[in-house]
Amino acid sequence: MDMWERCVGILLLVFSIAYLAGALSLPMGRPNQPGPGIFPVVLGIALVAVSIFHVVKVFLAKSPAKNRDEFPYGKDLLRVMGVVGVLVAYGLFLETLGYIVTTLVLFIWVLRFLGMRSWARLVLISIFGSAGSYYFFKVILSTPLPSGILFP
Amino acid sequence: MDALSGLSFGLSVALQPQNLLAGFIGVVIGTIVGILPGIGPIGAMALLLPSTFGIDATTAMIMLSGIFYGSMYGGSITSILIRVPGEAASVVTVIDGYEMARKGRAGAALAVCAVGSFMAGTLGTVALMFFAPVLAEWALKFGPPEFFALSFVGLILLSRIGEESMVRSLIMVGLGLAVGTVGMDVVSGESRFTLGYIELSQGIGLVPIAMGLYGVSEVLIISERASEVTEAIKFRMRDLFPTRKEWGRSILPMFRGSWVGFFIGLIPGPATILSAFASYRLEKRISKHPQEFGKGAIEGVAGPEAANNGATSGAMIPLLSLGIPFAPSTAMLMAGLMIHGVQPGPLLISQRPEVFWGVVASMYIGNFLLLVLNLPLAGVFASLLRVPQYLLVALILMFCLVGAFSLNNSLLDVQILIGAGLIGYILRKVGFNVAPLILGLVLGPIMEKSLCATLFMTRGNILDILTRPLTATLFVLCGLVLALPYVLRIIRAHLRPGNSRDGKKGVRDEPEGE
Repeated sequence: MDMWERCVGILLLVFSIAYLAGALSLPMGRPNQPGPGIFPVVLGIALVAVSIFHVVKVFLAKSPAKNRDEFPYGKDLLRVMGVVGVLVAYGLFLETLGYIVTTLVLFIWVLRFLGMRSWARLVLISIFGSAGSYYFFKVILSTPLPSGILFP
Repeated sequence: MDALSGLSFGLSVALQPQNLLAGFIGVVIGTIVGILPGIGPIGAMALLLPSTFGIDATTAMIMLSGIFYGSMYGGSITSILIRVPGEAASVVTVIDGYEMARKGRAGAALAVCAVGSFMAGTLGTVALMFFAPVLAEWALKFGPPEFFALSFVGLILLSRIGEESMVRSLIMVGLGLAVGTVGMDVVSGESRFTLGYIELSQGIGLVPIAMGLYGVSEVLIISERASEVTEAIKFRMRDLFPTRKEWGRSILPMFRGSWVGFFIGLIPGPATILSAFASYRLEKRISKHPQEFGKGAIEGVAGPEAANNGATSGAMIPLLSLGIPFAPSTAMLMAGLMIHGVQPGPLLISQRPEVFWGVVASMYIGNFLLLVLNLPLAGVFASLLRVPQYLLVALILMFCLVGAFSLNNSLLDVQILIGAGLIGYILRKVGFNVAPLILGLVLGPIMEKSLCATLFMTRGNILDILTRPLTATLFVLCGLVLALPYVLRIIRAHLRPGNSRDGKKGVRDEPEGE
């Protein structure tokens, strides 16, 4: 009886069915003239079959899987959620706000959330980390990082 | 080109200043990521792939493979000094390595690890040098059916050999294959599963997925625990020299471990990890004093540490001679080849000899550099662990994000990275291993292309491929491996009636240790 394992098992099954449905809409071709759909369809059928098997197994299982690890709770969960949150925000705002701003926020947020106490050092490291890496990647390695609206 | 002229040619390539530097950087980075928790060789290779864009293919490969075998050296340092394996292949080293350290023999354990790794790395490279060209020449005769069979059987065996349940591995393989079908179809060029994103017609790259699964999700796992400073066991420089007795006890395990590792490296699966366990079990079984294992037996450090390095050389063979990676780390190396327009496959050695022989020669040099670096500097490397966790997390995240973006200058890759990180975290938490996903993603296109070509060839009768000797052998072999556990179970069930009395007696007389 493990809610997480069941949820993940069902989500995998849903994904497999959706994938198979998508694959079936592709042209299959004939066996001697294979089309773009043939491999995805075969794969989709196999995936659905294995996922059903897995879901049944998980629902019948009395004890959690061997490598199953407990999800964190309380303060530990908060830390993980903090990192997840800033990552999602990073993915959404990188292009509009630009590399320096988003990376600065990422540094400050992560350092603070994971327990760095001194604000002065924290801000210093963050500024150095974001500006320094911008200089390193953009100027030395000429990676075209987005500069954003603040530094057009 | 025979092995010796090949090697001398390779040395002339590997000794060019930029390649020597690349090898040095590679092994140093490898050692560092081997030590640091939160990022292992796969993540590190994914991170550095984008930065190799500007440099030559050979130089890039020398650096990337340096990270791969270098990480095997680094992992043992933390296993011994703080009882935390830096990467998964050093899990076994913790058992006896940490016990040795507690008895004040940390230096000796570190030295034995470095020497064993060096010996296995070098022996493995010798075997690679002789074996890979022969295999590649043979593989020139392979047609699409053989490649289909190799990739298919490889993925199935991988799911069987891994440590967790086969159903779970197969789901991960299937997910990887499914992700691999996104984008332009290899045969007709039609867009598939792009959900309206034009950028997705290029396909979902291995690099953002690998960085997400091995970098970001690992970061989330370390974030769970509050920051704590781990104190490493101190050791003195002069303790770095094992006694004559310690040498005598470790030389044969190193030798055996090298070959155990090399041969396990050839098989699909997490070779570096499995080989370390196999070597440990072997040493314990043949040892004259098995009771010392777990209490600081030097054989239990020497054998496994040699084995995981031997496995890195073995794992290079399917990649360099067939173009089929059987381990996640060699999958990253293949991505490196392809980014530089080098087509992996049986023609690699004859068409791009500078890449193959350059990498082989650099492995000799790299292993020597690692020996020299690791012996006196083990303590310096171990002090890297004092880098506070929050700083490590911030830096790893920054490198992942920049790396994903710089690949195609696309925000979508950054989002794929973050998505893969979250999904990877949840999957790992509920007991899935993400390595088969990576291999499915890499082998998928090879498998689909060869399947379609096979269908053309056999006019739709896919079963015709069973008339070809090699494909038939592979499928039979695969069937045997799959059936083996069930056959063994039946045999055991039949033997049980006679055994039950001995079994009871055994419980009373000598309790089984394992």
